[in-house]
Amino acid sequence: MRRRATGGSALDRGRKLGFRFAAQRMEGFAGDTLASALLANGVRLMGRSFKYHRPRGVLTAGSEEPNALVEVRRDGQFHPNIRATLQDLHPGLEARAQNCWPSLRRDVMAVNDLLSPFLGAGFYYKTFMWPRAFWEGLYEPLIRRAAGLGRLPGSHDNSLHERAFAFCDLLVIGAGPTGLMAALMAGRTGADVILAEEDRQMGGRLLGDNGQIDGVPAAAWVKAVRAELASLPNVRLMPRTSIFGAYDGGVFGALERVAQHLAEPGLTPRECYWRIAARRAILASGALERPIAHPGNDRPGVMLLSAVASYWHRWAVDPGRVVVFGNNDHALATARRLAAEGMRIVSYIDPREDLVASDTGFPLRSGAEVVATRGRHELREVTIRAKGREHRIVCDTLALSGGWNPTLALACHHGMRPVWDEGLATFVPRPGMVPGLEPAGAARGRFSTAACLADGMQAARDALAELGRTPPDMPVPEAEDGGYALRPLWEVRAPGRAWLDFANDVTTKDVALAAQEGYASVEHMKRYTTQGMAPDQGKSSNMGALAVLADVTGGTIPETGTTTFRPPFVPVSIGTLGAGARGKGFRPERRTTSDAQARALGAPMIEAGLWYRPAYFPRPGDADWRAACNREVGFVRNAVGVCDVSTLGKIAVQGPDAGRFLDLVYTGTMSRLTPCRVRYGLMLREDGHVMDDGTCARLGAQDFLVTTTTAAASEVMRHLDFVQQAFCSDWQLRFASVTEHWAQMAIAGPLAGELLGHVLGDVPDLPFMGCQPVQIGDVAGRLFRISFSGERGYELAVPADFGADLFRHLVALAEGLGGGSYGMEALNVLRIEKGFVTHAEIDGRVTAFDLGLQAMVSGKKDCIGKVMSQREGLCGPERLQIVGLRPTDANAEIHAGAHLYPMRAAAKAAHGQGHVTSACYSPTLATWLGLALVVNGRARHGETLRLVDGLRGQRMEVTLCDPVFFDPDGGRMRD
Amino acid sequence: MIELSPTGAFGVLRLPLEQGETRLSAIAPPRITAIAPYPGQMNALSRRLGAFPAPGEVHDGQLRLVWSGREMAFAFGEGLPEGLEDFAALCDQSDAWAGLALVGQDAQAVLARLVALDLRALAAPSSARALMGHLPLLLIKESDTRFDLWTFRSMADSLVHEMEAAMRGVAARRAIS
Amino acid sequence: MHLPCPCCGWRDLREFTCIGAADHLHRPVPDAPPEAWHDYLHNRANPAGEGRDLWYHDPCGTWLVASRNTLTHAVHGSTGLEDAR
Ligand SMILES: [Zn+2]
Repeated sequence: MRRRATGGSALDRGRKLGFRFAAQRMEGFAGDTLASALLANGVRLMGRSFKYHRPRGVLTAGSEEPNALVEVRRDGQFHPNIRATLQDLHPGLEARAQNCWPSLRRDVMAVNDLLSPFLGAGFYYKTFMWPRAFWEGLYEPLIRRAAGLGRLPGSHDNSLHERAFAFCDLLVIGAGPTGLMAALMAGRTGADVILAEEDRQMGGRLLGDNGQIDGVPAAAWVKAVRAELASLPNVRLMPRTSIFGAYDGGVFGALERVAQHLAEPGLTPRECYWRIAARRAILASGALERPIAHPGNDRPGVMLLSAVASYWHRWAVDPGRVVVFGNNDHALATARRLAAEGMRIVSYIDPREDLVASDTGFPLRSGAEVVATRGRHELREVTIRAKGREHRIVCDTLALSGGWNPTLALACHHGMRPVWDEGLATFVPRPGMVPGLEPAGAARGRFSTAACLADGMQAARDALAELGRTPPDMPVPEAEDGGYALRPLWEVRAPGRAWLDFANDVTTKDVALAAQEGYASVEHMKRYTTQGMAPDQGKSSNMGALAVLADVTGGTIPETGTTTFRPPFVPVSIGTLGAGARGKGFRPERRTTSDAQARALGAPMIEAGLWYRPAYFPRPGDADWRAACNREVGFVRNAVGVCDVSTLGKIAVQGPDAGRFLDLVYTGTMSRLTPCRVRYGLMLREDGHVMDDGTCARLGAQDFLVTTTTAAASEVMRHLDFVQQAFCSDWQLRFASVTEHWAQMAIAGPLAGELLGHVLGDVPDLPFMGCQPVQIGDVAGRLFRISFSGERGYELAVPADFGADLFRHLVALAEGLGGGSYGMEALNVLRIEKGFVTHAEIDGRVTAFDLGLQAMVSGKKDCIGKVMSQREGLCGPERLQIVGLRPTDANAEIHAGAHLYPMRAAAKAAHGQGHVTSACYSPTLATWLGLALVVNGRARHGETLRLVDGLRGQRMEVTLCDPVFFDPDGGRMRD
Repeated sequence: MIELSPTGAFGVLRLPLEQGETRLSAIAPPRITAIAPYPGQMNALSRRLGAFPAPGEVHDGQLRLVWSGREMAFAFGEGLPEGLEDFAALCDQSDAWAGLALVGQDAQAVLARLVALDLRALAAPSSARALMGHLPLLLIKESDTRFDLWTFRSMADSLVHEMEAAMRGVAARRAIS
Repeated sequence: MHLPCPCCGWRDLREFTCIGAADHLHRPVPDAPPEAWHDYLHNRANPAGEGRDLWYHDPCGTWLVASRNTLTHAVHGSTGLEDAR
């Protein structure tokens, strides 16, 4: 059955496109949407409803579509819940209906419809309540199988998504008569304008209108305005773009459909998520026609009158024999116009009693209502009730018009409520609901074309005044200025189910039932019935549901109120919201200069903040990673090891007051450090807890270099900025991060000095905790004698350009001395053996006292955190203090995170004595070791506790000891 | 005694890159000296430097001075006047930053995918500190069709990756329009 | 949401870190009574409505005090810390 008439302003008749729907081949034209092409192919049944699996057809011609949701397939992937009304046809388009099995026409779940007496509002809450034991095994799987609109692809979505930022003086939302006029006026002043339109064509309702503007057909007027706007360099036109959220400070979220309509998208993103920052915005989003809740109003073939008109004008879809059911003058005028254009309108039904009209070209039934529809998969006839008598009319399409609702959601995104307009029987926005965003035209209830054009200009004038621009002199174009009188008709009272929310299968009875069962507030009704909670967010049902609720509760509609409007106005896929945040976009990678060499050596890289560091360097024959780790520990303890430590934060602090500043931020007195010396430093938060630790080297009288841990580098920088800007902005000092300028290599082990001799020409005579400038050929470097391993240790720094080559030389020299490179695993073992802490211990809750470092908090001066570090509760026997742990069985594996309990107490939180922060196998001492934070730990060395590792199911006996397991007097690193 | 040879920040990355109407290439690393005037020393410093850039400014003289953050400018190039140490902290940052030049008709469109900045509103030349996704960024607008993008050296790879993805998307859009 | 950085002008919220009310600028003297320190650190103001709070603009390293309304989310302006105390 062909249903294509002649004409169709959106169609390119020269380009026929083949596509598939529900496995059937069909043909449409370029310019078709999937919905228009299906209608033109005689397809009314486009999907099944969510709960009852009722046959459904397309209701609307826009983004508010509740029924015609399809899966669109491409390259073996598919996207669910695509609205057929927004999917442009392209060659080879493959779409499938949702919510049906095995096929759209024979769907076994349609049995739900027979069960509907049991599936009403609150069904889930009532049926799946008890017995409790049925939840996991029975109810949940049952619900999961049946629930959900569409289905997930199940595979990784590798379609491309994009994110972008835009800025403008004026954002005009919607390109109907209001938006076009506003954009034109603002554009002519040279203001920076963005005009965003959801449709692929600009024009809005004028595209489905054969009226005249300024004496030319509306379509020609649109074309001329669009051409002028396109010619202005200060105007950006954004078709296929839905503004979905109004956020703070003039920021709007926008969804641009970029490639979904392309046969061969190539590398074009599917969608783009725009964040548009606008100084002013005009909401010219128009209005949505509302259906009428009458029994059987969900049958395929029942559509909104405005949609019937759109499909007719834009896509030449012949709706066959049409019955129009309207309650307003606009509906009658539209029906007249369509009849005059040749549409077969077999009857106009209106509940208003005293309607008189002549020369309509169709029978007009005043005081009448539609009370039933028939047809299995699509509409065949409707039943009319007039003056108490019923009769049937055979038809193909029933066009509904229950009046119009301004599209005001964006104006409500900041939590303000719209106001009730009795004359229009709808809610309209108030001015100033979102600062900087003003509704205009139909979006605020100015429905005639003439009123929209004038209101668009006025809104532009107001916005331009606030932008400091003078609006040009422009006459208001002449256009239709018809009245709009209606009698609200929210519900036709007759036997059978009358649908309010098509997408979530909510009927007028469900709303009444919710009220009857005590869910009489609108927010409760919404959740109890799920009305308005489908992807269409109740765009075609909220008003009706509210009216029905008001009726059953005996209140007025404004008393009943509206539910809350929240972004997004249209569904936005997670992939699009997360655009740009995959892989490196989610987490940039920081690579050291030795990164490529470490990877080439086969080292697995582990993350340290954003940095990547080698875990260990495997060799053929290694049984496991621990073999490599043990070997690398041996390099350092017995020969020499090399490790890239460039990731540590490095901050140059310079100026006459640099020492004074460091005294304020460190617990120690750095101002008394002599040049060419290094000191360990502890930095506290003002609340007394340890923020970070590191070293402080005095390179010159006014020149310090402090280091931070890798993880805390940016936090420390922010802290230093705060202290300096808040408390001592007049002190003579400046600091800057030099982390990235210097590549720094640790050289540790008994042969470290010998290795350095090969690098520098001779062994430097540098005492422990000393530093000095060094020269490697032409390259000026810095040498620090510090140790994080407990062995004789140096750190050699060179400008980062030379880091890769320095690492290569050092590793080769170390290997020549029986050592080699070591990774993070060995570094961790070496420091645990020495009881050195890291952020595994400095977890934000520990104090200097807890770490046994209270002596480092100088008593002679103030520093950030000093006062609080000494307060009650932060230092005392009740504190968790750092201790070492040795298992009674040296081969029993300890892992960080395990908890400690008294030997005979149950493993309950109330008995907890502390937890393991770090653990390793020590090849040096041939035993497992741990560091732990234990209540009053320093006084309990020698005590035995029970270690319980719930995650790994381990229990063992451990003995508390001093945290320095190896070389407790530090002779090895000093000598 | 060993001899060290340098490795550029973009050592193994395939540059330059071209996509549609934009070209991305590495900037030959100049000497970069961070200059941070001490409190109250701005005037004395400005006299010796000619002028010290205010936020967002780029001064081109014997050497280029680029505002690079709070109370800090980067001097690009050699030939810094002697004796500035009394008025400002000087700090070598030559190896800390990796720079890319983005050139072409679509340069602004590409950056609109990555940076929440109104690039059209910036003068040329001018500088801005911003984030490119999560990457720290020093952006220098040379003209409407040329932007220099500097980030931490360690993130050079991620910078190229982000730029390439954005350039590809913009080029693909251009191809369909 | 956008905030004005005294150095960089209006910038996207994502570039900022907030640490709460600006009373955190009034650090007690070391020998102030414990109550003063507890108020400074923990009993912080968090008014619903007009307020001044501390933000860090990470790209340029500037701390600022923003005047804004936490009910309406209106942002009135900002100053650097040198002008804020
Ligand atoms: Zn800033």
